[in-house]
Amino acid sequence: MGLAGYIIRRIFHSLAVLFVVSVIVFVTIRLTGDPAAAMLQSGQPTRQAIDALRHALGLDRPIWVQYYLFVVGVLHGNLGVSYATGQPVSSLIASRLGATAVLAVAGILVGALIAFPVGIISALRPNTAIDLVGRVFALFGISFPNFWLGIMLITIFSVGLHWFPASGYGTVQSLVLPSVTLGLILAGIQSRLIRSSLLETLRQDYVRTARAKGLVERVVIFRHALRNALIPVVTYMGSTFGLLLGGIVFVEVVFAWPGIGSLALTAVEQRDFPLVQGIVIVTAALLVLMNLLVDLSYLLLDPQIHLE
Amino acid sequence: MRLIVFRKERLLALASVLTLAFGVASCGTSTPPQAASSSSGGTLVIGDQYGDPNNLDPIATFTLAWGEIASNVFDGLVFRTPTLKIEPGLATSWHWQNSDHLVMNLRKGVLFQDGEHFNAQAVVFTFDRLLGPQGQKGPQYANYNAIQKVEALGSYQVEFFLSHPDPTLITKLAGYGAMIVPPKYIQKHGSTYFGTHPIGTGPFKVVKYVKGSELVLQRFGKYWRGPAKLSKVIYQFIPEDSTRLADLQTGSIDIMQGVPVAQASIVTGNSSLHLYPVKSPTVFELGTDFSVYPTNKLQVREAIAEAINMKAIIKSVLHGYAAPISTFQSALSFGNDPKLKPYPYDPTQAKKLLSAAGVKPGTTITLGYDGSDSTFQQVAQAVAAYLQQVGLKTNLQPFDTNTFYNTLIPAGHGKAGALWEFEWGGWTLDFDNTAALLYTPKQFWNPTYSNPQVTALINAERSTLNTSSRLQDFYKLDQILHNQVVGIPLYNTENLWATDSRVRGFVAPPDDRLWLWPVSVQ
Repeated sequence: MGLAGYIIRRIFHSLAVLFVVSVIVFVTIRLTGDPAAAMLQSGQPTRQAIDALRHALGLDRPIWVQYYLFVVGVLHGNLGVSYATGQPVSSLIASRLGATAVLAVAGILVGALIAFPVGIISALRPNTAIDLVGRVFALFGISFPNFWLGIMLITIFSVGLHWFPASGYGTVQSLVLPSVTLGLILAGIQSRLIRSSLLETLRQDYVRTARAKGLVERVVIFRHALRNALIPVVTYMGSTFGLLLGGIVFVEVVFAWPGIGSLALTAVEQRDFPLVQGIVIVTAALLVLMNLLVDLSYLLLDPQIHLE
Repeated sequence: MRLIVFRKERLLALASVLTLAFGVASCGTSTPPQAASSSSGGTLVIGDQYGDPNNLDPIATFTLAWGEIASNVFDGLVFRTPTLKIEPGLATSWHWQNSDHLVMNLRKGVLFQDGEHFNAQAVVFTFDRLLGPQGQKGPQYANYNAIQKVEALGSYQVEFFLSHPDPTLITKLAGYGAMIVPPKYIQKHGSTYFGTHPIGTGPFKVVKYVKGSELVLQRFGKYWRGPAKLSKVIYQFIPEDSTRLADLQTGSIDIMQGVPVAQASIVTGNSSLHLYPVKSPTVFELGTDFSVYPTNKLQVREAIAEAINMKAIIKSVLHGYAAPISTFQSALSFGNDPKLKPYPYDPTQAKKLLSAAGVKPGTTITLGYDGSDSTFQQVAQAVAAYLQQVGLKTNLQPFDTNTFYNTLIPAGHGKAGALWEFEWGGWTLDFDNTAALLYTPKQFWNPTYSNPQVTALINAERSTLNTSSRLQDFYKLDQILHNQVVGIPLYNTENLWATDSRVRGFVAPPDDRLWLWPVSVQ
């Protein structure tokens, strides 16, 4: 089967996944309480007022009718109207997606900039003092809760040193602290992964062969060993895109970053069903796409991996 | 009336404590706050606790996030000052023909920010929209459903037709869903566009709106009261308390709303900042379940009320920024009897009452609370310690905010606990709404309490506009609620605002509806 056939088959798998996700989110969000009561909580409603609003929003119809209308809407590119804000879900998501993308990319870059040197040096000098420092660093990165790290960075670099703003959006300065927070968290796990993967690769026969035929160490490491060691790292980075989106929620809240994560948090708190559904569907679609790209990237990293 | 406050207090108390420690440590060495850019009239930057309202259309939302901004963009027929006085707004005068008919005379020469003229047609359009199908899908309709229709009696006079008397109507016309909107602009652009590009008759116009990040207001030169002093106002949406405080300390914002009580000392300890505590409408009580043992017994409820040392809790947990209450309303509430005293702290009497009620020492009761409310968690722990001293064991049970308020408390029968945290606020500052919802039978938040005498008093006060007879009914009601210990009143909180010392003319609003027209910066 060729590349095109593979991609088409994967797209069908993806659509099936999205269908299941849509059913799950549609049903589970409806188990969490009544959005009419949540909306009117501010307005001291009588029971009649709550029932009237439920009717106006169509929440008194059978759940399969509600789901059918939702799916028909999605197929027409219409994610519905947010209960809590009266704005179209698609425009609310579109207005926030860019900020999250910028933060995610910057966080991944910062993470990679830290993780690669630390991981490679640790692997090349295993069980030395420098390796120990790298491993302790990784342990800190994994163990620190994102938000705690964020507040610490604000306390030191905004309040204490006045180097960077504590919040804000749209300038490079305001991107520094959130992306470093995210990067440090990612770098912890990544540097460990790079270290162990590279250590294993360095023990392989072909590395010994490369050394034996007199290649300089730099070429052995970067051209032969590291490229192969990258496969588990890339898999990890691809599959943690979802975890990254989850972790980003805290970073966005701490730094008042106007992304999809903080929007999702508010939507869940307000029981804003259409907005929660829209955010989950859109992020699930992104995640599915990301996994597809990761699988395709193996072809570039290792020519020995072939499509069946 | 309860306003939605979505807490961002999820972060560990540890983080706050550390920030406090570092914040205090860095106060001594920090450089003076940099002034925000100052053009003619000056620019003011506000750190907004409530985040992005996402829609500024008055009929679309009912949140403090909207209220903090929109009072500066829109006007109501009536204006309520930051000191809670009712004054003429877009209506210059009004009179009740009878309890179902209200006639209002409108102000002439008022312009919307796009140049459209304000007149009776705009008022009729506003209320048709609010009371029609679109308004009914939003949360504001329920506030105004006493109004049947509004008719124009001329270009500058309107008449309100009510289906039943509403003693709080005038106050309600000062806010939220009743803000006057421009008919031509909305007909041309549609409501969705209006929600993010609002036009009102207020002192400031929305000129820039970055979703989730910031909203920029510019002075409206033809405002009917005269132009505001500030030329530009920037609202930055910063829901996280520690971040907002850091921004205030570094001079990135000029006004911070919602200083956490535990961090007030950072502000008072910094000579370039001012702290403004203001009494809020928000009150806390322990709701009592009348259908489960032992809170179904009057003696037990009274014992619990007298076992808790409220003054000590206010001093230690709330750092003094609260006051004890005698019924479930604030000192600002119309209907609060100032002569009625809070229950005394008397553990000896509490023990006697418990033993008289036949409650054995070591009996366990469950106290449910909103798990995202880190301050109340400390209050709950203190309450548990006091109850322990009189022989009651407390099982503290945190819940998700929305499930707690909108599923468990309404379900009753011990679902939220025999005792539960109940936070209640609002902006009409009239006991009517609270009383009707919590003490008349079968209401959403009152699954188990019923008392014909109480119901009769509430029906009496809400069917008349006579303030003195309403007040007498409320005082009788207060006495009954107090005697029957219908809920255990805890405290009335203060809201803490902080500003940079360059801010002038700022009055901290009890209802969080910031009024920026008279404010200036140095």
